[in-house]
Amino acid sequence: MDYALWASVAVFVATFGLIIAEKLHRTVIAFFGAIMMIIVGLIFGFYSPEKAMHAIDFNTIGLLLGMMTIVAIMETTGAFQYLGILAAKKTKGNPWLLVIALGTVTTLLSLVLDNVTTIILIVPITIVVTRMLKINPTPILMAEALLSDTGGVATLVGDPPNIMIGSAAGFSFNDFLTHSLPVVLVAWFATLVVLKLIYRKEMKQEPQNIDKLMKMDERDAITDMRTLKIVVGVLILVVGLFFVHNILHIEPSLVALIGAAIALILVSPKKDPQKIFEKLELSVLVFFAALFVIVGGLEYSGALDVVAEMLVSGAESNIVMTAVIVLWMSAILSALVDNIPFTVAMIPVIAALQAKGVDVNILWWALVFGVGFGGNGSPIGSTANVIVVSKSEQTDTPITLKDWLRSGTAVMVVTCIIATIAIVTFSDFFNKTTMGQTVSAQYEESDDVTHDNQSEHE
Amino acid sequence: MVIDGKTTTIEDIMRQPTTIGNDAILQDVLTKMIVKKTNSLLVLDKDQKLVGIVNAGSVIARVVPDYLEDDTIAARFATEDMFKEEVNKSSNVPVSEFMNAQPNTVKVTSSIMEAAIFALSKKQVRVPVVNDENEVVGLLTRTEFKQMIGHYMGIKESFK
Repeated sequence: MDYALWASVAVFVATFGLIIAEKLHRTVIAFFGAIMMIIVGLIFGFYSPEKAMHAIDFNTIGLLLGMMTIVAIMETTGAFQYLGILAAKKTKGNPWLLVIALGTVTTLLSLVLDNVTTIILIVPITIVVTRMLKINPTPILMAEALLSDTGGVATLVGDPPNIMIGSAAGFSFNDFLTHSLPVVLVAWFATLVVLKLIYRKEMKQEPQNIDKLMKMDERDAITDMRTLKIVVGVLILVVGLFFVHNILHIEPSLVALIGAAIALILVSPKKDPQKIFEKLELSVLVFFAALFVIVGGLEYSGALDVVAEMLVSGAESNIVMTAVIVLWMSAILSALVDNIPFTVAMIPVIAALQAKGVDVNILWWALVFGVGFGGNGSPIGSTANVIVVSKSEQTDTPITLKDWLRSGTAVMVVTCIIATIAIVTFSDFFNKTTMGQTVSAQYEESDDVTHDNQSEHE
Repeated sequence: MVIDGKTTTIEDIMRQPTTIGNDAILQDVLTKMIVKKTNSLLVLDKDQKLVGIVNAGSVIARVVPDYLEDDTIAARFATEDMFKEEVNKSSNVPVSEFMNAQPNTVKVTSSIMEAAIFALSKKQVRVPVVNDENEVVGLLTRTEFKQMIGHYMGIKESFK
């Protein structure tokens, strides 16, 4: 009997159980669990502070840190509200066009920016507009919540799970554009169709005060034109670099941090940036780091290897079926509990399968789609959902659990079916080594570095 | 320090507070504030114990919808109708839903320095004075502190 293995499993199960139970704050319990894992690891000799440091994926943390800094600067400029009003005016108050327009603005922003920030800034202006027009905001708010999650699935930087999966699998920004974006486009369209069917009654409302909407001047939303120009410039640069990061052999995290550094030196060269940094979600970053440390313990104790050993024959004999199971299992779990701990736990399992010689790329994509689309399944499936529901509480039509089950869960099921069809139909494409992986492999060979990006923790 | 030959305590300088019962609604609170020309009321339960404090700020915060409180840019585009509608919706809200239920309080025996620091807090500038049974015996506002400072500076019009 391997005590080290069981000790690591005990710490993992206790910590993840408490995170899922949601009685304690997730960051506090994860931090405690990470420290426990290190102590237990030192006692049983399978883990150490050095190994724990190594287990933290600093590419994920750095990318989030960089993007959070850029968004923190952007947030106060009024850019989001500007886009919201501009889009709303284009619809001339038509309720269905408002769903499409504001939903699409949210999708586009979430492709690159943090979903939560996007939602926090787009929802209030949406409620203001719908109250002016005296129409029910629910369909639009649902579209914003669902499409912010959906949009996030399309890119490497759209959502924390993608950042983690991309980093572990060695997928480049462009790999997501070729593999994930097409599926998301179909899912985006399907989401709108589902919303149109479910909210057909609300779509027939006659908007009032259209003249007032048309008189709104979106330029009034801009608080600081200079900062806005800088941030937009930085974002263009960052997205440009994301497209070529793979060719330049730089990690996406470095791209985001370059953007943050340029934004800071231009926006706040002399002032202490403390005010900007206060908006960074340090609690989220510590939570992620702690999860990496906990799962790292499982890896070093050999527990993940045991799991991979159990899965390897099944996975090898039918990889597509395994992918479908991974997709639906991660979707259902992501709807019910926080999708981050699940993603962090799944990543090394898939990596371990890969180390055993299984072609696992399709499993990475299944995980991307499952955790991404699954988040739409319930009001607690993603932070964006939680925020939309809480902000709707003071409107005349608060979004209830029943509302969510009617539209959000339907959207989750439909989008997961679309993803399933995609990976089954194009299974060869999804399982092939991606361009990003090929480029990195060539680089590493030419550099004479033996660095297997799937087993970074070894 | 001494006024008329005695050491001055909180008891010497505090004023009588305006109070309201904890069964009041927002409209009652506002009526009393307007009639009594005051910006804050102490909320008492039926045993006259202090259970909270409301001020004009808490009334405004209750009227403004939560989803706009952190978004001044979106609020810029809200119409006057919207403000009026929110006022109408809020008038029957019980005071317990928007009062500060854990106000800073001082005892008559507390130091004036402690009370003065409480009066600086952004959320609550008025400091209720309570006895050991948590019954309100007085109130300190910035006026009292201003007078005290004036007194120490020898401004002869202070405490008139």
